[in-house]
Amino acid sequence: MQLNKNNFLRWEGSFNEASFTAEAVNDDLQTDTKVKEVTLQPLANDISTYGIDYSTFEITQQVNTDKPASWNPINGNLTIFLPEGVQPGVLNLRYRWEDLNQNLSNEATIAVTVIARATGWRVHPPSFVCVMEGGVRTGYSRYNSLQRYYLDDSTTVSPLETKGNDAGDPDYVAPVLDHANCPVTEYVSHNLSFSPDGYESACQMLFPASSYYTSKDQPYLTYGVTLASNQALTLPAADGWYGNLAQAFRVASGTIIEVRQCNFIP
Amino acid sequence: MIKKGYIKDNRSFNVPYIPGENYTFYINFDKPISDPDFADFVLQIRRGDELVVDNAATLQRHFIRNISYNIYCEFIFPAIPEGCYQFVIYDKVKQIEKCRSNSIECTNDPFGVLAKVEYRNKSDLYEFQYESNVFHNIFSLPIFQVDLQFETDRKQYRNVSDRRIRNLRSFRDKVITAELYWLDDDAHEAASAMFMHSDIKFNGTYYEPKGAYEIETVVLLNIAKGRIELYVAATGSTLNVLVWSQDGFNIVSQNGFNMIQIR
Repeated sequence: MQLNKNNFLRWEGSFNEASFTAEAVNDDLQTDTKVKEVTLQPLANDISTYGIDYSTFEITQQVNTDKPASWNPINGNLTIFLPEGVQPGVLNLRYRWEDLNQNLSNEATIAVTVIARATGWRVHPPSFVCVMEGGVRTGYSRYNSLQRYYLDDSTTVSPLETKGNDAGDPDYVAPVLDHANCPVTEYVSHNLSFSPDGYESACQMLFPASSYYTSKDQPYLTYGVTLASNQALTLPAADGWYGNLAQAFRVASGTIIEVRQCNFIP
Repeated sequence: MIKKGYIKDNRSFNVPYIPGENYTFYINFDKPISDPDFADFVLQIRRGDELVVDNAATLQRHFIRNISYNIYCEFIFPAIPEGCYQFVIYDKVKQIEKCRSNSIECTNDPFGVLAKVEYRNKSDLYEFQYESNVFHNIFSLPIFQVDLQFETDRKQYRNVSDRRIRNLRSFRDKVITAELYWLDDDAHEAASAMFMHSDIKFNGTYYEPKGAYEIETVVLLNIAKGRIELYVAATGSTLNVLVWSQDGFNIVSQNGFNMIQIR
């Protein structure tokens, strides 16, 4: 075998080669569909007796031919650009190199496993409602539907995915006490005066609309009673009450209450 | 490779060596070797299988990358009978021949046709790793000067007051035509490569190629003359000196042939 040229002395023969290893080792990495590019050092785990000549790094199979992977021979970083709209699956890039003694390595594979982004269900804001009972607010709010969203950055999955927020669903979001957005409908729950003389005189306004109210959970006084429109309320003779009659008039059902004290003549 | 036609004379070029002269060679391997048995290698001179000189010189390694290396040698050619031989690198422990050179010719150069040639390059060239060592290739080659010309580049004007010609710039080169005798194709390739080097010295004088190396092919012969025009350059790396004269500064090469005059 001719060993050299461009020399007046030309040599033929063969020499032994020192044993060596030039092994490119496969790499695996995982990313998700949100990621546009990944960077790794593929030669970090490769094995070479003589040392790797970074300038000889060669990609034999690209992941994205539209935007080929970028190799930096200075720091050994390989940046792989994922295809636009990449779907979950495995993408393979193959490479090889020469060592400092010009020995070619095997081809190694970088397997990029692309996984779908993790999602969850959360309340769907447009489906917000106040919980009603008997036509009045209970002080609770709830969402009628749920939307899917990404866990990593809390953005809503596009296109929008929704499902009913139903009890029994593992993602069910129960109603919450929400006085700010869903105040309970006012209740008559105040101290009604009475006249022991017991005949009716002209009723007078005791409380202006919406002056006093409380919830079932936090009764202002003893009574918390929901009135229908124009319903007369007879307070029982209990807790020091004497069975006097008061009339309350609901001007607008469930929202505004006028309470009048009416004196009765027995 | 295409075969040569019409060859009636199949002689090849034998690299000449004169006993007692110092020489070097550098094996510019196409791919540096990493043979771990280098310590067992010796340089032999053989005529066919006949061993003529067992340990002609000490071989040296020039490491290129990690443990890969080229082999070079600086030696005085031994006093052996005139004739054709080959260099052999031999593993004296395993007792196997590792490689063998083309034919060399031991000659006392009775007609004085040989010139001592030294050359190297400022950077790596043709697998010669010059940048990491100070190696010079030293050979004897049959080379002659067959022509001499002078080239001048002059810009002048006539002085109005005294009507004398004044030189604005004057530059002269000495150009020789050299011929190398009876080289085969491989030797022409080597000569062509030699003339690509930056520092070329024949018998102690530096030369710089002017044009391309040309081969005067004779179709019936396997060997042919090589021809090239060479500038005779200044010796050493200090090419020019600055001289003050009554006409101004003159940049004059050390051999006196080149001159730039600045007024």
